[in-house]
Amino acid sequence: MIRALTIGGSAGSFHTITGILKSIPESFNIPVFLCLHRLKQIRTGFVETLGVNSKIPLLEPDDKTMIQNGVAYLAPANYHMMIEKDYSISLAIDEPIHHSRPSIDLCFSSAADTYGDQLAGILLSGANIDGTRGMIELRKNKSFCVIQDPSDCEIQTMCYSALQQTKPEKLLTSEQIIEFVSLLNNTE
Amino acid sequence: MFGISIDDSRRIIQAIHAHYRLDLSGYLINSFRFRISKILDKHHIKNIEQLIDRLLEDETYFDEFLYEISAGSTEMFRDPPMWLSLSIQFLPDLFKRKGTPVFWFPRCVSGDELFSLLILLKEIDALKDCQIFVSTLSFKSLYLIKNGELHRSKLTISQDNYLDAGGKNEFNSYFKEKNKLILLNSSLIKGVQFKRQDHNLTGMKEEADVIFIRNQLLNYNSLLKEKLLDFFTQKLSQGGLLILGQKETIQTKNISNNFIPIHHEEAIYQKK
Repeated sequence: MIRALTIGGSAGSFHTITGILKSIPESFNIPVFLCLHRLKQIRTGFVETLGVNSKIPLLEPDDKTMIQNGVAYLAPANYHMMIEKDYSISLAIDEPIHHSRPSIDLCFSSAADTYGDQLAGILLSGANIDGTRGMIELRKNKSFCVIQDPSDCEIQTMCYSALQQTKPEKLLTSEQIIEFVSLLNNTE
Repeated sequence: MFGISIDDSRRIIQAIHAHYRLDLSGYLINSFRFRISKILDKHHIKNIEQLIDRLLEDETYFDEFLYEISAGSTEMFRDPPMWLSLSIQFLPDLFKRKGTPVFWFPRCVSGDELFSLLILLKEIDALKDCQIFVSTLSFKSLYLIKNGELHRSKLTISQDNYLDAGGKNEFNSYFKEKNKLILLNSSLIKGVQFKRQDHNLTGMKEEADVIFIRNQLLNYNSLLKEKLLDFFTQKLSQGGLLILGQKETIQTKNISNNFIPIHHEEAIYQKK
């Protein structure tokens, strides 16, 4: 049973993310952790733009926010976002990893450490290698792994790098990923 | 990325407590594990036993460890709108109310926040009219900050932030460059009073008018965070400012009842 979903993306992932948020039903009953590379100078407006058609609440959590089902949490600009064992969200200002803060590696690893085989993780299009280590940690913790097919990615680097290091359960196109997520709710 | 277990983290914390009488149990466990993993990698340490032995045998290494388990600030003038609101509104108001206000940084790991304030105070011509206290957990932090040291890689982003925060001068004029470092002009730091303190922070005797603790409470669990916030509430003067990081909040009613959020977006609170 999947109890949480985490999604990482960078350049070229915006369209897929908005598609996912639009297709998730209102009754979606697991939390979603979104870790997207973004400009740190732009602190406002991004979450509103991303969530304009979202059926579930999308918010940038404060530190130590308790996780709720049916809510999507977007890692705030210039902070790392981690999932804690007590099912709260913690933020950190450690140095960027692969030039990225928030770091997909850190978000995925902490979520996998907390939810183990009850987590699904999806890695989308992007232009650096952040996410590869996170995918490895997902595998290690028996989480369900999905990687966007590099041939379907606007920028292939991120997914290609992860595929070099690990084998996901599913390799899907953007459209298939949107459908996959909308059906996740039914596995409860 | 969390190369050590929660049990191993607790063993490290217990060993440090038994040997140094320093309680690190208030650190958030995942941040602690992540940073321990980085320390193991950086120093080529193979296992927890080896790390514990080294921490207990070598006080200098232990001090370095204390420096590395707390994330420092990331850049100068981080969140420029916060600094802008301080310089055009909150600090001029404060200097009108108080003759010689007291500023306190209860937990500095790196110098970014202090140096930003020093530059800002210089530019509003108020540096000589205040007292500034800085507390650090490690001697390493104390040494680096006292020397005005920052890594050169922070220069560009700090300069951009400075301009966005309404900086009036040539940013570089506040620094000299030395190899991989930039050094803040010593004339700005010379009046600052430094102290190394553990989490009890009992060495701070003065009442503070502004407490800067931006993004440092992220390092701690809710229990220690609330304990420290309660302590800061007691140390603040009436009308004094508590400045947290942009994504930090006061979650306990008992504490939040003492404050008015005067700038919600930048987490600036004024004591009633």
